[in-house]
Amino acid sequence: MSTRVLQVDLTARISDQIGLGGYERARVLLRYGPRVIGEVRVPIEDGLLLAADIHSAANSSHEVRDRVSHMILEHQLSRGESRSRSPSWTVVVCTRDRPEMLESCLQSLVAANDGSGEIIVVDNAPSNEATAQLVARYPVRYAREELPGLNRARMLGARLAAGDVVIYTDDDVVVDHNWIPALLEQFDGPRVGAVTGLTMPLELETEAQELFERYGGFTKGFRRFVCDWRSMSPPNAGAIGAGANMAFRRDLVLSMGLFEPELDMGTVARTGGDTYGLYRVLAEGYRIVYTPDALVWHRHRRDREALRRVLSGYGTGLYTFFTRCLIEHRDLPALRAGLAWFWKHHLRELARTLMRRPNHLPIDLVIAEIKGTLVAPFAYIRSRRAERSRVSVNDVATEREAAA
Amino acid sequence: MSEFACSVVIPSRNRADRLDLLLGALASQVTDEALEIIVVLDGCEDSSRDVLLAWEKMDAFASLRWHEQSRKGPASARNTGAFMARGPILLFVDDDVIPDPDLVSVHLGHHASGDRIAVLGDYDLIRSRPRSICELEIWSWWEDTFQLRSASGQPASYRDFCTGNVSLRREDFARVGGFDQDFARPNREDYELGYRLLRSGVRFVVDRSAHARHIRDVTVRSILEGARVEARGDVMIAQKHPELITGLALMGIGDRRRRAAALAMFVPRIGAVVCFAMRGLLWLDERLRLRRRWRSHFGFLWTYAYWRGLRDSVGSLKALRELRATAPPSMTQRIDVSRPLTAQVRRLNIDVQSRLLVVYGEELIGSIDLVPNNPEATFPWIVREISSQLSASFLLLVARTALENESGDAALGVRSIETG
Repeated sequence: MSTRVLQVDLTARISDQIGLGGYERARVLLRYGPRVIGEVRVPIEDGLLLAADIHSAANSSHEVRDRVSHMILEHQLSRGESRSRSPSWTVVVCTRDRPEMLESCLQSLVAANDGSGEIIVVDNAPSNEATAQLVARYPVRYAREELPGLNRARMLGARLAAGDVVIYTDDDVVVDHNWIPALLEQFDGPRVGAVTGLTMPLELETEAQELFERYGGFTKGFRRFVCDWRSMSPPNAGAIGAGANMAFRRDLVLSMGLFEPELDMGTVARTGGDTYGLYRVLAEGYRIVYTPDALVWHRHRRDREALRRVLSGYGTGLYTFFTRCLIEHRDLPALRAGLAWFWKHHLRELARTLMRRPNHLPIDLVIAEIKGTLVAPFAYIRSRRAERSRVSVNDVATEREAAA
Repeated sequence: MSEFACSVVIPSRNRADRLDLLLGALASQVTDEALEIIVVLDGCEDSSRDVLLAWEKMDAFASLRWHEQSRKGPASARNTGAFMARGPILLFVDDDVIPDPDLVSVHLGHHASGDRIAVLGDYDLIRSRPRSICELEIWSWWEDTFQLRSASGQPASYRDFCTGNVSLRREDFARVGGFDQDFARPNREDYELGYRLLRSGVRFVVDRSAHARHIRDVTVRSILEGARVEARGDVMIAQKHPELITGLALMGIGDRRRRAAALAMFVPRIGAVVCFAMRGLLWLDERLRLRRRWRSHFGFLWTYAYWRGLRDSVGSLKALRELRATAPPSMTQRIDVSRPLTAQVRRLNIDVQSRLLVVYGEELIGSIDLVPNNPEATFPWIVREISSQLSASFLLLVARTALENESGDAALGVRSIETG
């Protein structure tokens, strides 16, 4: 019953048939050399995926055809056009007690590093030395953030980074070999504050993974877009990208303190730190570019229980983010964005489930997500209080030290 | 040969403290060359003169001279400064700009070749935090302008010429007659000079590393006052250079702004009341961060102010229509896509409305309309237009050429199919 995910480069020759026993269909990502064009879904019959099926699916998709012909012409017309110099970069991977996930991530990162930048793994409040031991085997830097909190780890990574661009990813992804240059080429002026890329599912082996994709997954489409505060209301920043695949100018991260310790994993807010970072970049007037050419593959949670936790966490995180926009920035459109999302997404999914519409989602997941959203405002206030009291305890401690 | 490599010309009006900052930044320039600093005080009533006296006492420059005149506007002040200058290169810096320490050396580096160029540098707005929506709006506009004019393969436009941070040969400045002093306020006198420089064959070199910062208090009031004055400047440009009319804001008006324009043109008294209410809404939008509504209200106010300016200078809609009618018909330009495009695109004239013929060698593929003031960079825009509008005929031609090259005989490919 599962789906195989794979990629095909249209400029390369592929074999006539590919043996894929045990799969019912394939999701094929189409590329034109380093560029990503789109995807097609192809059935697998008798364990065989036919190249002819991929080609006919590609040919029958208007979008794919347009993009291919556009790319060929653009290639033809831009001959001799010199690319401007890329900025220096640092990849920051934040992880916590998941060395088995991190390993494949590091392998892909090391393979994608052409030697022009550096990779930092930030180990967040680890319970043992497993991550440190794993990282020691790879040519990457290791740093440790003892206090729990994904956003704290992200900030530490930015402080340690040597590159002008900090590229963030998660430990549960595998990156494409062209990922880093594809992100960097979009930083073509001081107004570009952040760049996000395409996040595809690495595997769709279980029902939980399929369900996550049906929820929308992480994919933001196959068309590059540029947004700024004029074209997109900043509270909608979640539509541009997420923490698994995003890059920021380091000076912005540091000067704005972009990743607030009150948000995201490791706090009661659970997620939302990445969205908040993108929001700040937009609200300060910078551009964010989304490019499908910057590709990573994300390993979705395999079991149902984990998926339920993830979705409930997304619910809490998103609305914690909205709450923060309202309270800290008096950003009224955040209220509108929150209500609109609740109406258009949560209530609509709930109604579809209750009416048993085709492709509806299981009721327990829908409810878990809605429950997550309802606790968000309180979660934010609790998280903020916890953070402030921690800060003040620290201040007292440093004052005492100073006095001594 | 002059003893000074460069004359820095600064027009100033009632900004003593900023002038002080600017002179400080100029005193700490990293360069071996001797600089001549010329300040023209244009109707100053504050302590600007004391600032200059203090700097003179410090003896920080090879030469520091100034001239005081009654208020005649920046165009006149810059001309006076340029007239006083003795160096071969003029560097115009506005009094609200703070140059980076290497600014002069970057400018002079470009002029070392002696080419007939003007070097255009950045001067980005210093921003406060948190930012008002108004500040975001203006900052975005400036940054987009700097980004666009420095885009790779971007053709020069007369609108690239901004006088906050620009250098050129004194000889070229004198040859075109300097700034046009009919522009009595800071209203497009820089664009107008840029146009005459381009026409006289001066090439624009955009270098973002010739960098300075711009201290400007961005307020809605100052921008709206500016819009009213700019409208007068646009009218003067239209009168002096009718070929530029198609690219000016007075040429058209979006449907959504029609009401603001009509109020300003026909019933300015009612318009003033509407604008007062609109300013209240704008204040509310700012407080609640309602960015989209702010932009819409601001757009209304801007259009109103601009059209008040048009009314001030042309008087009536009829006169405006007559002015518009003096625009010459659209011209034709061509690019050959069988050859590298960058150099061809850079030579295009993007300040006038024109039809761009796209040819492949001898064959015409089609045409696209070049509209002045395109906010997108020209090179990628043209590539995109060709591939979306003309892709079929282009692909056919590419295929035919490939076939001809392969077989050496154009008909061969066809014949083999017929016989096979």
